[in-house]
Amino acid sequence: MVASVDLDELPQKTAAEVRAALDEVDFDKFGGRRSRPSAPPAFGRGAADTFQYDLEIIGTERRSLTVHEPLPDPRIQALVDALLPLAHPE
Amino acid sequence: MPASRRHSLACIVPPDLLRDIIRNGTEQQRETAADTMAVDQTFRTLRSAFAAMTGAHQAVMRPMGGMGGQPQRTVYDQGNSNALALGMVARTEGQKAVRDPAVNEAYDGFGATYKFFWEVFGRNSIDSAGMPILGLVHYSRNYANAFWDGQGHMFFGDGDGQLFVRLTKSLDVIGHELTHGVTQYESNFVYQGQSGALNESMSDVFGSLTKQYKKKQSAAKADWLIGGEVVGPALKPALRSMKDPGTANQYDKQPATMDDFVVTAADNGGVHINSGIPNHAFYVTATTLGGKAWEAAGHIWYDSLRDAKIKPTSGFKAFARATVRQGQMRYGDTSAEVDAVRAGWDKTKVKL
Repeated sequence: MVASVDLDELPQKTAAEVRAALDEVDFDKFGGRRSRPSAPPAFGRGAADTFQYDLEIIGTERRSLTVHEPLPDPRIQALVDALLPLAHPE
Repeated sequence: MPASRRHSLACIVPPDLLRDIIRNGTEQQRETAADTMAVDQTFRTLRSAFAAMTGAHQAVMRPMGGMGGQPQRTVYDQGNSNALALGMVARTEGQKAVRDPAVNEAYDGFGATYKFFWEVFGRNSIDSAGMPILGLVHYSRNYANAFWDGQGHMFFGDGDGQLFVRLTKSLDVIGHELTHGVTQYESNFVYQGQSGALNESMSDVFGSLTKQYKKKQSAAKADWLIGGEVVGPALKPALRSMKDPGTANQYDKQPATMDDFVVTAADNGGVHINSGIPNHAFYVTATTLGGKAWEAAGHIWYDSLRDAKIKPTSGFKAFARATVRQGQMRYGDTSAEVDAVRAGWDKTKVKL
């Protein structure tokens, strides 16, 4: 699933929701750099079929974040929830 | 200790034979076999512990946990929460059906999967020792997934209506996820690269066999599709096809042979993509043999999952060799079964 989102091209309400969710996430706290996709899942050893989310935000600076389920923070969950409806299978 | 039991231990009566007696013998035979297994278990446990201490493969001798034959299921309702803590108990073992179809589908699916592994392989639940089977339905909101958490729980989402509908509706999905638990206790394939693709393939193989067993289907009649009952309009007709990898839906990128092996960093090195190759090898093996896919092909694959030479990091070649080895042990070096196994790996271009 891929979502490529330009906030300027979204409806105002949707853009506001995504922007608000983005503002809440502390990228410095959660790494900020793209972690390797092979990072172990956050569930126990042997976990399978959980989702991994790769986020790349391009604004005044470029920020990246890779997180596995279970998501480490409700604010990241909110950001994912805001982006998922905009995503499509590739 | 009676002489007959001493002789059973000294002659190393294999557990498979004892399990057959327990299932099919007279009352006296079943009692004796059960007693033998109970005593045998102690010694196998000791041998397994000794093997672990001396560095031998841990998966060779697994203790049998109790009599088996009855699952211990509990289904929890997560109430559309993302919390990982167990929600409200929705249905326990032996309880009648409840109003919530997701709860009943999870309960019945667990039962069918347990029954398949018990009746076909003599395996008592996920860990072969009667492990309780715990399902958590209505996880999160519009969650288009189901997964095994590696800690004894299977989570089900309700679907988003586009990618998936309610994921408890699919028996092969339920069998797929519980098989991740079985794999965890056997080969424990690392969820990355080729070993990860094998991990995924084992789940598709035994998930599909769970469905075929329930429906009493032959290999020829089975659809060999994964998730056909739960994909939404965006992913019709199914999530994956073992018969024709790459054709299940418009986004399906699975290869059928090593010629098209996908090198990628995504998806833990393509575990859901390259699983198409060993999936197809199993399909070719099973349909070449004909009859019921769980009878010969299923046994060979199950034996291979527990093969002493298979490691958590084993790749396609090592597993393919294990299937030939296990086929030879079970059916003979020049059997039709081994020929069919070789045909499967030839077709998928996995070099032996």
